Amino acid sequence: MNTTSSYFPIVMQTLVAGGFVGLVLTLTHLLGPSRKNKTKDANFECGVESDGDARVRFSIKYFMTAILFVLFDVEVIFFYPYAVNFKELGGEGFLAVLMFVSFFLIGFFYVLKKGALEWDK
Amino acid sequence: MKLIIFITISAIIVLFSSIFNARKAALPLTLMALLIGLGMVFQYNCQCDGSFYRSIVDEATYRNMISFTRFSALFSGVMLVASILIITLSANSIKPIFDHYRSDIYGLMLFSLCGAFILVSYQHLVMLFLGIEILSIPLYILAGSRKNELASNEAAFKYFLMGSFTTGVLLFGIALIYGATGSFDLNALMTYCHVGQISTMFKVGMIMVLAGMSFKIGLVPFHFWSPDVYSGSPSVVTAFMATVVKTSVFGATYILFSKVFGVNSGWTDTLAVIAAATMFVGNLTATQQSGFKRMMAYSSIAHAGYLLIAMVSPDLASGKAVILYMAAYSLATIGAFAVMMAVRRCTGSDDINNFNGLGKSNPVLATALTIAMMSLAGIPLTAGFISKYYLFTIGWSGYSTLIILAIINSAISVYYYFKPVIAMWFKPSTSDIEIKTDTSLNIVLWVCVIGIIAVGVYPDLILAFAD
Repeated sequence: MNTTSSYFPIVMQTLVAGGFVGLVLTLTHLLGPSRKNKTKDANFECGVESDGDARVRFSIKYFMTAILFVLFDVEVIFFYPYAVNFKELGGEGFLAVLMFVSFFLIGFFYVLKKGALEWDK
Repeated sequence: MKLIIFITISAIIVLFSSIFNARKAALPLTLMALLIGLGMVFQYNCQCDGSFYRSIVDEATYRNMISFTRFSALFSGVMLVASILIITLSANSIKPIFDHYRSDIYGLMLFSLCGAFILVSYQHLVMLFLGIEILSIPLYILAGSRKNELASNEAAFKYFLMGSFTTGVLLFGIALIYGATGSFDLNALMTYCHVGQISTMFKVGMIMVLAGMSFKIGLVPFHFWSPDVYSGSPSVVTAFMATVVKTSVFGATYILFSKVFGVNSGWTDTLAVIAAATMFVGNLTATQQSGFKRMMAYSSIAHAGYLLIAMVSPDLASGKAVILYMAAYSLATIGAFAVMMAVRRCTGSDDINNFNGLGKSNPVLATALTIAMMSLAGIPLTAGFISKYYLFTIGWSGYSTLIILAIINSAISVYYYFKPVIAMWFKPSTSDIEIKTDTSLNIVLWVCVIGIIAVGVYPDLILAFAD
């Protein structure tokens, strides 16, 4: 069973998938009409005329807030499996989660005290 | 295990000292935590019986994730002593504008040290991965802790990009090993390697794990990051990387390859080739360097090459030789960095020409650097000689060609280690800047010099702990 030939269908599938994509792309390129002018080649930005560069500098505070949000958001994700198994895990589980939360709280306290969330400072 | 918890909690306390406006307390708190940690390691080492790899606590207590053995106790001891010296060294060397981050720097160092402890006591491949991450992530930040300096930013960025990439390779390797054996547990892997056929998948996994570890130790061909990162990072962090980080990842690699995979899984020849390549690349490139930090970076690559000799001959004595070598290397490297930091602080760069005439203007510093350099080169009556001697005698039975290459390399290394020595004693001073030292730097220098000579004359000082 575990021989090279048993992987043959996978190879076929890869070839067919790749071939189909390649074929369609080439065909649309060759058969489709192509009108080139300045307006046509402009970047599409929801119909609004594009303005400036995408690489603008923005305040680090956005980044700080966003990354801290991700951190505490992930913390909440861990609560869901715990909430489902709340009764089975019992006292020991509660203590473990309490420790996990307290670590996060320490981090939250640190962030607050360091002034990472103060917007106009 | 208690050690890891203790150091983690003290790291958090040190981190918080800046919030409560107790930034001055960060240094004494860190030193106190490390000293207590050292006491705990001593106590662990006393609890051990003869066996090198028997866990002190029952392994089931920590669900076979961690086994703190005598091997780990000795490695942790070496790392703790190195950290104590480095942190003492940093007392006056952190520039005033960075003083604001002092507690953060110490906190990150302690966190990194936790990863280092996990790396020398893991019993499960997931713990190996976690250890590498806990060790590395604070280091990426530490490498860039001089926020306004371009070189420091570059160092952090390079280290982070390449480091995270190789961690991915390491993880892939662990996954393949799991795929081949169905277990993460080191004991199960050991059984797999010693009984029966080793599958190709396992071998590929082993190579990928080796690649990941090689990056962290700085073995050829994964060494390209280390000169840039070493020269760009703040000197205290560089000293930390060259000693503590190297010791811990080497310990981890030693556990995995010598103890678990064992000789009959056929990786010793690969490692012997890597060892030879690492020694030659490290030593030959070091001869071309004009900056002291870059030279030390290549020197640390070369020393990793020597250390691999212990891995290709995995008996109990080689573990002891590794610990002795690591202790000798760490003492000499920290001593050399201490002198370099004094010179750099007063002259503004770490170019070897800046050491000119130091023998006349500050003979104490010059003598200390000479002894450190002699130890790194392996001149008799220093710790470097005796540890190289142990290492080479162990390797002689199996890989005598490699030992001959290593001896040739030691001869090459004398050339560049003596460059600053010649500059200090025989070249006239080029500027009239006075090189000043301070108390903490002097203490570290004296400890290093006395340690190097004491271990060099009487190696049982360290080996006694391993018997």
